[in-house]
Amino acid sequence: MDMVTTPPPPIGEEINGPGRAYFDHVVTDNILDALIELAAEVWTTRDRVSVLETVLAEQGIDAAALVEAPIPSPEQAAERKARREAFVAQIFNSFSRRTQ
Amino acid sequence: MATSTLTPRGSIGVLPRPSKLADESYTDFVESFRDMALIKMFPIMCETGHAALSNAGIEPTHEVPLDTAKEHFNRVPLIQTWQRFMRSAQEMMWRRTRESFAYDEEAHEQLLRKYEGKGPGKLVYDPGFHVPDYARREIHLQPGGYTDDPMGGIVYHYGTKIFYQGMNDQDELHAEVADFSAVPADGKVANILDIACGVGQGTVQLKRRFPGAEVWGLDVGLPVVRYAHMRSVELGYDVNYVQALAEKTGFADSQFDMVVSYIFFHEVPVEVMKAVLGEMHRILRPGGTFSIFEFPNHGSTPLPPAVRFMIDYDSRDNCEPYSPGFVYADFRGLIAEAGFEVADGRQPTNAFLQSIVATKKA
Repeated sequence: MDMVTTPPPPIGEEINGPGRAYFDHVVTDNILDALIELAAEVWTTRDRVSVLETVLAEQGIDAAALVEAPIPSPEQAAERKARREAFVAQIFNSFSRRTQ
Repeated sequence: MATSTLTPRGSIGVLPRPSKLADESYTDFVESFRDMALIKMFPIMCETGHAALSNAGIEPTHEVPLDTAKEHFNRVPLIQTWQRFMRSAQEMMWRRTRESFAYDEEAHEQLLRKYEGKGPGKLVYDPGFHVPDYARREIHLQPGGYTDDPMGGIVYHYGTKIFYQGMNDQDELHAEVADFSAVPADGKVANILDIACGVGQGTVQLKRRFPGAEVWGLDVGLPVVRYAHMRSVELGYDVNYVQALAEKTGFADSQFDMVVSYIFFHEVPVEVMKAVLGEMHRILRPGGTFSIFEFPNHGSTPLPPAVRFMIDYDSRDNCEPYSPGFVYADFRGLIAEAGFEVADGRQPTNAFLQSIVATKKA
């Protein structure tokens, strides 16, 4: 059996370490990271409300519990995906529009 | 379903479901965001990078040194942004996926342990197994990689759902790989090995196609083969898994009729790649087939600066440390050097992949 010659790397070194910066000023990287996270959270909230409304419309009362239950139909999943992609395009359009 | 016992929200077919709706929505967002960066922004990145070279009086040909291309590309705001987006999306995907499935790590460990003694199929590993340093990388930025995070199996499974952009939720691509794998000319298929099997998505599909064969999945990562075994047991497939190195499998000479590998070789150093090819030649019987589904490999083909920039980015910032070595190697030549006859295999729907059939001479 070979001997272990290096200690195990800490889990998450790549994503929890200093990370990467791509702009001349790291604040730009940070603002963009924040923007993406914000967008993710806005979407998450939107999605939850959407699911909640669906649940309420279909079944009524105990929304807090019911919201974790449904598996979307293929049609509902496709509709959610389409709305999600439109949302992404809306928020991030400027990054493709101004290229220099 | 193994997956149905792992989270309070069950599974979606054969895919585990995140433990919270909020996690599922968040990772759905990351999937769409990543789609935008890959599909919409990447072509623009190529155009603007080449335009930046042209504006500097440099013809954007394959002769432009990589460092020169990087110097000019990295001054373009859109390219800076694209790199930021790709990196951030990958980090977000792994953070949230792990958080969602690792909400009770002890319970997960107990479940994995419980399934180790269950069949059909068996799980083989040596607690003293030494994972070589080259394999202990956080490939694709996955925390702990394939080897060092006990939660790595289920985290990889759901994380790759996002990577596949929804095309492999029910193992569709792995089913195709199994269906397109080459059968030996004499039609005899009694023993099959799936190397670098990960969480066994392809391994179970090989058993589906060849129900009478003995099928093994092999991977260097104990977390992934433990999860693969649990998942296969729950799916009812009689397949075996072993933690081992593809370059030193421990199987007998000429044991297998078929060996299959799926997007594996670009994740090992070239020297290991050569050793694996030699080992596959050893364990295949004469006339046996080695079906290889792999990332594109350009050898010495001239590539435009934007493509070389992308390969370099992926290596540095998506933790694919060995991919440039693979991309620029003479892969088919190395397969032939190992003693195989080399031919094109059946092309999967995913046109990005190359398909090769290496046959051990009878």
